[in-house]
Amino acid sequence: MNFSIFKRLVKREILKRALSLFSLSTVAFAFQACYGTLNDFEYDVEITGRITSDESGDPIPNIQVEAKEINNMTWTDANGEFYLYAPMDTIYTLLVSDIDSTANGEFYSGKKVIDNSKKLMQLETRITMQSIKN
Amino acid sequence: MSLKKEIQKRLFSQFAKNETAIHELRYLFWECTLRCNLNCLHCGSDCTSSSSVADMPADVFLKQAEKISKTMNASVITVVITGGEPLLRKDLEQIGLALRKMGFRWSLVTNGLAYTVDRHLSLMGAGMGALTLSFDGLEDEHNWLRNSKQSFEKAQRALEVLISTPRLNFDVVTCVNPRNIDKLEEIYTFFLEKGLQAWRLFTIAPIGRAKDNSELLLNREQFTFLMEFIKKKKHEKEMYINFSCEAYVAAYETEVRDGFFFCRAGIHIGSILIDGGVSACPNIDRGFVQGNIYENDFSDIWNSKFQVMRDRSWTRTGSCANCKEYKWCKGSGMHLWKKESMELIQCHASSVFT
Repeated sequence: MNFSIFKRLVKREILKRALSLFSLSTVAFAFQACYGTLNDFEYDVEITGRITSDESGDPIPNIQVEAKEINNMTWTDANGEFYLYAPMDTIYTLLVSDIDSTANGEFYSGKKVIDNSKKLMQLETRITMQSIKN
Repeated sequence: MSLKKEIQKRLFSQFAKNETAIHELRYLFWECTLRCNLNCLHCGSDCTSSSSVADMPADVFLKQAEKISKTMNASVITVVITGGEPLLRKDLEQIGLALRKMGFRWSLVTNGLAYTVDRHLSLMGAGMGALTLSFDGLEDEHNWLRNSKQSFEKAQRALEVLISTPRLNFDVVTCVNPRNIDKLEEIYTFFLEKGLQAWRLFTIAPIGRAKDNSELLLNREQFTFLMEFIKKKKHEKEMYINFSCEAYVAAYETEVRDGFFFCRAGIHIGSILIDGGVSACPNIDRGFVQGNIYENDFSDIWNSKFQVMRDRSWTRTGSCANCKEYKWCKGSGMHLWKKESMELIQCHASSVFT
């Protein structure tokens, strides 16, 4: 960072404090463009997970993951991973289902309860699915 | 003017000057499609249902987003997906997830026609954090402006879905015109009863399809009426109501908006347009495009161009040349300037000068 930008950033902080004395700090920094949207509340949690087979330990692609309480659904990718955004302060029941029949193996449906009462912004989970043996 | 407001104004002016020098990107519009499921009378982008311009491929945009995330602070940047009607794209969720993984926040501007419960849930699951819904009045006025008999019903359905999701920060925007200005009180009551918390009112600028339709533009008296309406409703504090940041409004500054006017186009706001053009707000005259992502990276263009938006001294011309408000207005909104003639096409402040 060059010195002139550094000076500008210091000045920004001073102005921010001065503007806050006049209740203008928030509107100055959390602006909205003419034809744009408001700013995000930033009140969601990123749930990431990996689903593996109990038998081989391999990741399972194309597993349906449903967050029951918020009616949200996603699917695992080729690495058996999924990503989902959900309200921050909630307990989620993730229902996992093998929806592609015999492709990628066959597995029993399962569930996992995740408690985010600590209001974390990121949660990581691992779910093992029980293989249906022939 | 009170001493407090005078101090506020001067402080804010210093803040704007400093922010212009820093010009940190905070807001990135992506014009993802020009296709639209409506044919609105006032459309600023002149889009059609079967646009001859192809949608920008997701990977082209995401490649630019990734480069931006490596050279700028993505956590302070909101990507605003706009169109056309963005919901006509089926890949918004994948794009949204990818943006969140890069550290951006993202949001959507929609007319609500294709906004169903299922789409809402999948967009929320993909990390959408904010949304703006166009809603131009009660049934007759809305359907007239939107040029569709089913538009009101669909927008109302979208509104009800959005209101049911507290974690989504959304607002409704209404384009005020001669047909709906007398019904603002009824529209306000309708929104209030629905439970709407944030309402933003616009006027229609004589650009896009509206430039040849004087039926859409407010006269001086109507504009003053609009300012008084917003001012009154802001004092009542039943809803978070604001005049859009489209233009400087002289004595109504801070009365109809929370802050002072500051056109941040090219200062905090950039855009990637449908053809790869790089500009600020998508409704700005395309003559002001600063580069193209198919030739240079957005970040390089942002860092090396945009002088025309960061130094607005060239706007002190024509009706602005001797205007006593110029010091605060700085030529009003960038979208109100025509590149070819370098003329201001509309001055809101002159409508409310006494």
